[in-house]
Amino acid sequence: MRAADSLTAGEVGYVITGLKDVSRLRVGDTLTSEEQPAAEPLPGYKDVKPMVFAGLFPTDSDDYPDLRDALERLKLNDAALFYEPETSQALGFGFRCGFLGLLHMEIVRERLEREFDLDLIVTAPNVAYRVLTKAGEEVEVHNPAEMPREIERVEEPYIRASIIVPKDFVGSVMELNTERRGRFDHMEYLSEQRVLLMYELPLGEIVLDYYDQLKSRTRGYASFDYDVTGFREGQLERVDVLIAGEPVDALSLIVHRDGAYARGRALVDRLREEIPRQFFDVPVQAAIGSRVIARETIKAKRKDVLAKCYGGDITRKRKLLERQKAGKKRMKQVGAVEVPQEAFLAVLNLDGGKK
Amino acid sequence: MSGGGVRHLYVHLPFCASRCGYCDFVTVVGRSGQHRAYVDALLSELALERELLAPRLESVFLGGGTPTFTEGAELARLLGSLPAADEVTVEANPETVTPELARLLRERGVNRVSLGAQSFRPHLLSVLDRRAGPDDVRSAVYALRDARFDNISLDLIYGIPGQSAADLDADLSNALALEPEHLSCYELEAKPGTRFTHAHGSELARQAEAMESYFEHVVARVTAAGYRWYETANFCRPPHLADGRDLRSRHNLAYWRGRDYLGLGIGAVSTIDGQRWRVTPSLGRYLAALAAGSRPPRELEELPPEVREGERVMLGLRLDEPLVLDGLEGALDGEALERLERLGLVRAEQTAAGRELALTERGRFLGGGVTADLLA
Repeated sequence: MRAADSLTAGEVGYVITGLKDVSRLRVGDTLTSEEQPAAEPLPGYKDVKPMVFAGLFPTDSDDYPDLRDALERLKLNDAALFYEPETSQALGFGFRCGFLGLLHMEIVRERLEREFDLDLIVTAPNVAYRVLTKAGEEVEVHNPAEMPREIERVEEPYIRASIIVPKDFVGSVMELNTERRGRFDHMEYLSEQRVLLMYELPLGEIVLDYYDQLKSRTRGYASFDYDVTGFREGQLERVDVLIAGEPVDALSLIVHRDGAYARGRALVDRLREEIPRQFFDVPVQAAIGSRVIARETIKAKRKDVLAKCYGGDITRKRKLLERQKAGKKRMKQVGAVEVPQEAFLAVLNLDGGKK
Repeated sequence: MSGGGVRHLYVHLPFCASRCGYCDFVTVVGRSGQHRAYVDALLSELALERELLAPRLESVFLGGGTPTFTEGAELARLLGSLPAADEVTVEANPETVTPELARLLRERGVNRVSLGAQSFRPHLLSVLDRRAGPDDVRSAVYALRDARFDNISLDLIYGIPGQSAADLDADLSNALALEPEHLSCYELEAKPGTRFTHAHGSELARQAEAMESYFEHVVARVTAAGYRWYETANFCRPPHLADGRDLRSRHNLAYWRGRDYLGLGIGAVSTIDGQRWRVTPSLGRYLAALAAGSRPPRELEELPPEVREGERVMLGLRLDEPLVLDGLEGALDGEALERLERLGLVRAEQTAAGRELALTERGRFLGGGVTADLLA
């Protein structure tokens, strides 16, 4: 490296500034001189807006300050990362983070875990929604739990997806895309064997497990790329989960009206498996507003005793009890119900559970 | 702490005719040539520890292994040399109880026999690798009665792979028909690492749901027959059905009430003055040390006050009598206590004796989980 008066296209260098707050800089900003300031920023650079959102929570709530520091530091070299504090009654303090897309989300999560040695719970990702409330207010919603109840109209982001597959799998890909509310655009034979399929899909339908499904239905051959094209109105519903009558914010989701019942049912079934039996019956419900669309009951435990305990095994029995106690401490308390952290991830792979 | 010496003595007799698959106690199969040497070693160990004991013992308990598998002459010699106690219990396997053995036990001061019946169904006994058949249990009880034993306990195991609700019912009927003074009913524990778990673990997991109601059924049947459910897994005839006698096992009550006890023999555990130790489980090392006149190797565990308090709660809540919380408040999670009270699982009361805690009837069926919640 050597000092230089100017940098031209194709060159790489650095500038030392007196800037104190690095978060005010973004990739694509235009650098200009004080004496002869440029009238306009250089054309072609857009401020990228995050489209995919997820809640990040430390597994151990004591790690919250570490997560905050890690995000601050990550943000220094990843200007596209967006985050704001979020409080979930079930998962405690964490952050709602916005990502450019799925790959970005994956990378951020990996970096937080590897470079910053954090143990995270990542909630099911969702997209940004533009909502017009009955009161005529326009809001952008990043978290299903914040979706207003009185809605005039909801818009969701759409993507233009290009999928390349061997021709034998065209049928399975079309089937998958139809399930995901995809609209077929066109298809091209790239060669005798390889086909390019172009679809329009709601981003919300691919953030969960679309890629896994695509890969598994094409024996791994499909390749997938997408661009966000804009927002469109959708018939969307907010599905809430109630455990023993208490709504659990971290489990709310926004789904298309046609899939709401199936999703609610799958979620409730899954939770029944994930939540251990308690000392009392625990109803698990999925509801749209005040209308319950699915319900299961986790039956109360009928026995939970250490069969025998005499002088020779008091220590062992005590340790068993201590382990049982420690297991309970790792659970999150929802009302009087102890819910394991895994249950909050149930929403991530609802289809996976059926396989 | 033990105030004038320990009043409860456990003696371990490890010898067995064969090993049962589900058992994880310290046992030694056969080796009749070593019975004499082992009893010698026990008596030397007793001499070494004698000063820990109170002048008068409340209870002596001979457990195993199969104490009654020990050669008669050696068993008699041991019993004759042990300190006297109000309650002297010997564990016995039914097939070992002959009229001669019953007389021998009685003559040597034994006043309580705990018979490992386990089941009366031949197919279930064979799953458990038990040698005795249903008729052996009956003839053992008759032999003991003939020898004037008026305090007999039967052990039953439920939750055996393949055991139907009807099997369990038949076992309970058979056991109750023998009119024992005391009954212990244990759910089969598939302990990790045993041959049994290896062979039957997955089958047990499959049956878990069907067998969930067995514990309730056991308690319902046995209490309906007039017995007192005085500990999670133990029942006895109440005084009005037993000439005014309190038939709870005094020795085991000592464990559940957190009393100190001395254990002799391989693998035996003692808890005295906040220390717990376990004698080596190795027969060879045990015999060698005592033959040389020294204490056998032991594994020591310090019990700090908070651990002892936690154990007092864990053990005390197994009983049907309330636990006096005097000095134990620190071991409890106050919030959990309130929640469990609201759920109708525990009851806390202020009495003349102080603040007392007890499980409700439903709480007793969930005692393990409730205790885990309660402990701070």
